[in-house]
Amino acid sequence: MTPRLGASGVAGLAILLVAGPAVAGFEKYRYTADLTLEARGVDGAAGAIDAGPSLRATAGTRWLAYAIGLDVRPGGGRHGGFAFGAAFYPVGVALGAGAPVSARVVAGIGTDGVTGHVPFTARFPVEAELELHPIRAIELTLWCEAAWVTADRRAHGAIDGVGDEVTAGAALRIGRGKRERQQWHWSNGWRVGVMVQERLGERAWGLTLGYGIDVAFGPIRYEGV
Amino acid sequence: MSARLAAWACALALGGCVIAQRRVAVPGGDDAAIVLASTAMPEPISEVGRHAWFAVRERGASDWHRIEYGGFGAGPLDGVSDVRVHAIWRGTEAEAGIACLRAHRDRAMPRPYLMVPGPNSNTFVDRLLRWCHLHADLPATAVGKDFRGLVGVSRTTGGTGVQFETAVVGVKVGLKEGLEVHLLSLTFGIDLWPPAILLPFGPGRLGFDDR
Repeated sequence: MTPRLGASGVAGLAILLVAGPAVAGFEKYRYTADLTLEARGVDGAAGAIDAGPSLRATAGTRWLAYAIGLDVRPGGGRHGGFAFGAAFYPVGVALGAGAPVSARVVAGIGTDGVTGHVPFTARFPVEAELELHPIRAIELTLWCEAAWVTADRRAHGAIDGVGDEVTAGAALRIGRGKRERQQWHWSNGWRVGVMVQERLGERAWGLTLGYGIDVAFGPIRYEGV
Repeated sequence: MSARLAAWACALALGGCVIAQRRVAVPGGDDAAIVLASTAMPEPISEVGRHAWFAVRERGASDWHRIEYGGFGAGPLDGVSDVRVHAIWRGTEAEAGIACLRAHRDRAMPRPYLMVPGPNSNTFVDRLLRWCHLHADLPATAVGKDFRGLVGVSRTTGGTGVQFETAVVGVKVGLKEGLEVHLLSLTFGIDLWPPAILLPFGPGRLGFDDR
């Protein structure tokens, strides 16, 4: 199954993403980048242990921004085999990027699988993420991804979620952070989390462990990032 | 959750632990010496990036000079934080090495400079290590150490292996170096001697310090 989004829908989304920040004010652009180097281990018959970088970036205003993302995750299957996953998210929108509370939705195309266990397929993931920074050195992340796939064997693999496969998780990051100058904030730290994945009709739990770095440039008035 | 996953999580949580770490000091005396050292980068990338340099002392001299691109200090072991010494050469080997480093310094400069994936200050040190046959490995978090352009093949700096690199992925195999996989400038692997797991965090290894 593939996402049903007609040409008019794509055009409307593009206009929203491009025109939104422009209407809100070009001169107040804010840029953020979140880099997470994370290892994930998911139990179950379709489970895998993989690791790699995950990058999210935004450009826009304090309220609305264009967001993109990239994930690359090589690894190994829980029951053998080579695991690999990659996704590019060229379309996305972020609200409150760099603020103590921010949300982001990105959509794109990718692939993943485990040789001999989980057939490789093209995927069309949509990821939503909520980031909370009560203080700069602490970050709580809640995220959820629904993906549609082209391989029949992996279609309808989510038990009761949207799309063919669903992954959700929460992570806590504790580290350091500083407002270097008025126009530049950063924070980083070690991050640990849990996740649940539904694919191939199975629900499996997993752990995540990694290190994350956030930077934000631009007119930032909040104590976020 | 299975015990294997828990063990895996604990191992990664301990990432950054280096056993039998080399003493962070320059050698005494007045013989020729070369020290290969690195420091953590400034925040916010202190845990994922390191900067390497050579500190050299000519025979009969007492002062040290640094051979590096950029840098964070003038003293032989000045750095931002978590300074580590990776190799020391002394005597005639160091004399020949210093002459070679000085002869090739300009050619090794990263032009144009690009922080990720390179060429950068670690590419500069990596080139000099290979060109001057100073066998040592840079830490896994010295991003840019494996930059070979879009595509490249070379001997390893350790001298007992080969590596094939592209701008996106690469692999290094060696008798002493073990196996390294490079993905978007991140290093994952196993160092055979001294044994360690190579990780793209902190000092870059979980296990015994490199010798």
